[in-house]
Amino acid sequence: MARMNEDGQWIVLMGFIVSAGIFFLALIISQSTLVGQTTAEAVIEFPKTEIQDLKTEVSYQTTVLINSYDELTGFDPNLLSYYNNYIADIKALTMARQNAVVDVTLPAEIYSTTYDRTWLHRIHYNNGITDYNQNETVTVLK
Amino acid sequence: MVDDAAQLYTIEGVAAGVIMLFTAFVVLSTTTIYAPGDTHLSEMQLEQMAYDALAMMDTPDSYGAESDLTHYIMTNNATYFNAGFLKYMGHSGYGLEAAAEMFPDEIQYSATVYYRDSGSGTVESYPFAQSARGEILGHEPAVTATQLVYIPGRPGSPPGNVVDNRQQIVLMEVLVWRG
Amino acid sequence: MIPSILIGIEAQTVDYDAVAYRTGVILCEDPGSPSYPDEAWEVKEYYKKDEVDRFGLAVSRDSPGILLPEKIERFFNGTFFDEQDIQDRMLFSNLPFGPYAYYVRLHLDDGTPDKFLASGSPIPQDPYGYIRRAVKVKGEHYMTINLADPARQYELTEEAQVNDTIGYLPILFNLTELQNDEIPKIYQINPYQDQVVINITDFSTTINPINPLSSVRLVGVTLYKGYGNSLTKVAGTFSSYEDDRYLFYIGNDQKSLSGDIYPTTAAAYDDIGLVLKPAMFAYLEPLPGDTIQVNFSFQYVFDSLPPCYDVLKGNNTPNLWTYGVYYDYNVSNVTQMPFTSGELEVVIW
Repeated sequence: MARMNEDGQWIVLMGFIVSAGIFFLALIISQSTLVGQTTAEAVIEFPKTEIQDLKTEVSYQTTVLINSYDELTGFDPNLLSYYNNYIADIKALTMARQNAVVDVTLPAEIYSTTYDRTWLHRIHYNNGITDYNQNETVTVLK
Repeated sequence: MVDDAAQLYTIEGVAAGVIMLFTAFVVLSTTTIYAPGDTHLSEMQLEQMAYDALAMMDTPDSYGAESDLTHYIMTNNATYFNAGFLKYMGHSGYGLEAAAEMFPDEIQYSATVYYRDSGSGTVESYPFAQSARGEILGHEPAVTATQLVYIPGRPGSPPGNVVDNRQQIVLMEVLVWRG
Repeated sequence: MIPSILIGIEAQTVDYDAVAYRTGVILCEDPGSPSYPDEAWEVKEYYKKDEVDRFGLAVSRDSPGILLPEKIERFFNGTFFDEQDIQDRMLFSNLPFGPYAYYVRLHLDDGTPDKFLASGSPIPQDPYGYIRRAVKVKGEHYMTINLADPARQYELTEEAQVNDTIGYLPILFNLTELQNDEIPKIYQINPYQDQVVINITDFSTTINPINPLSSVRLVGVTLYKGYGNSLTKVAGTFSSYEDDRYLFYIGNDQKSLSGDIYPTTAAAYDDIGLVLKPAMFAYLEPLPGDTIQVNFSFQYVFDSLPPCYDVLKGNNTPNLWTYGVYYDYNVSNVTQMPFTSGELEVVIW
């Protein structure tokens, strides 16, 4: 058998490798237009309603507690124990049903003038995907 | 002298190679187009409406009053809850077709109340209300809406209930689907 | 499955439902920008219209779904904001997808007619985006002073029984107490956000028939502002052109408070009504801790002297508010209406 002419083999091989490289680049550059989540999935995933609900409930109960504050005796002890129970309820329920960690701090006085008092408390919510922290100040008359 | 006898073969080979690469490229870069059902849009609208219904029922109409949802839970009144909830979810009757599709007359739901047992620290539940076909989950996807509700004592749930008799926060969870 | 190079050939590239959802959230859950405590978008005058960044109907950012009547009124007033404002500040439409056509409808359960805001073209069969939200509207509040109530009347001393005596009935706003966060914001009486209504009734029946008082005239309404006991009169608050700040009624007739008002004898009318809009409090610019006082001045003319009984409980010094009535959370002074339920629909195409 006549010897095969192997002279052009290198060139063809290089050409093949180059075209494979271009093909790979073309795949990368042609980005799909539907990458990522749809709008609705992003909306469902973000716990907007859970956080709003938590904020409303906690801030209402905190206001009730703050209104009971007396300079000499502090918070009303009954209301304080109720408040701690509410926070324990909320923590257990959100962990069980929403798989979320909730932490609420007791209100602490940060500022006081002659006729009003300002309180600060923190709300923390984390459901594994979204982490939410809030410092809320409430100013009430003395 | 350069022999040009093989040029045609080479060009043929290159052209074939390009066609094959192009085909491979087209095949590998196909993507799926989302059909409307895949976008989960109807679920988002349903969940927002269900949460709105619960939130409005849990807002007292004047300062110091009891909210509707607290009242329903305390009196264990599933009938009023059903009327109130479906009023928010139902067809508003204003003739927009999208409204008819989104909120058909057949919204099914199943509402459960979760509470914390302070003795054991665990979370328990009892079923609160259901719509007409509320026990059967159809093929339509279901969404959940929850609401934290303050109640001033032990709710009037079915006899034998073991909810603590104290002021507490419970969770009302409603599973909603079209069907 | 479609090759990605053919993806570019699409008939519709925008998700109208997502825009409708976003618009629904902006309207129902956001108070707008700027909002109280800055000069809110619903009280800005027409020449400052461009300072509004965004519309929103909620009372505050902590109260999603509870709407404020003043914001609803300004938003659904078709003449204040034009088409371009809506596109920029509510829909945020930008090329290549904008401008959107829209239709917003608010329905309230109290029987009042629905409010609409539409871009003009009719809603197509499809495609369009739609969302419906459940809302509640904050109730209005008002104060009614019934002058026939004996608690409102007292006897003038002999020395004071001079013709053309002027007596004052002060209504006071202690702003620190009103904006106290002890009460959640959705239930507060906030003169910067809500309109304040003062009704004075049974004016003509106040005058005791055997009383030699021949007439009582309402001479004027003035505003005072200040801290503690030192209130100073605010000049130029009522002029006939600034009727987005107040409304004044004698009986059922709307009148202007500028100039001479009140050629009225006691029998001519029975009810006086004054509505102070949030724009008025924004205009007054009280400092923190200030009190605003609204003074109704009455002038008495006596038939004969003495004795004389049963005139209005007031005092003779304009800025000493001893007998004033506070516009506060006391239910015997001010009635607060409960919330009204409703729904808001947004259609975008």
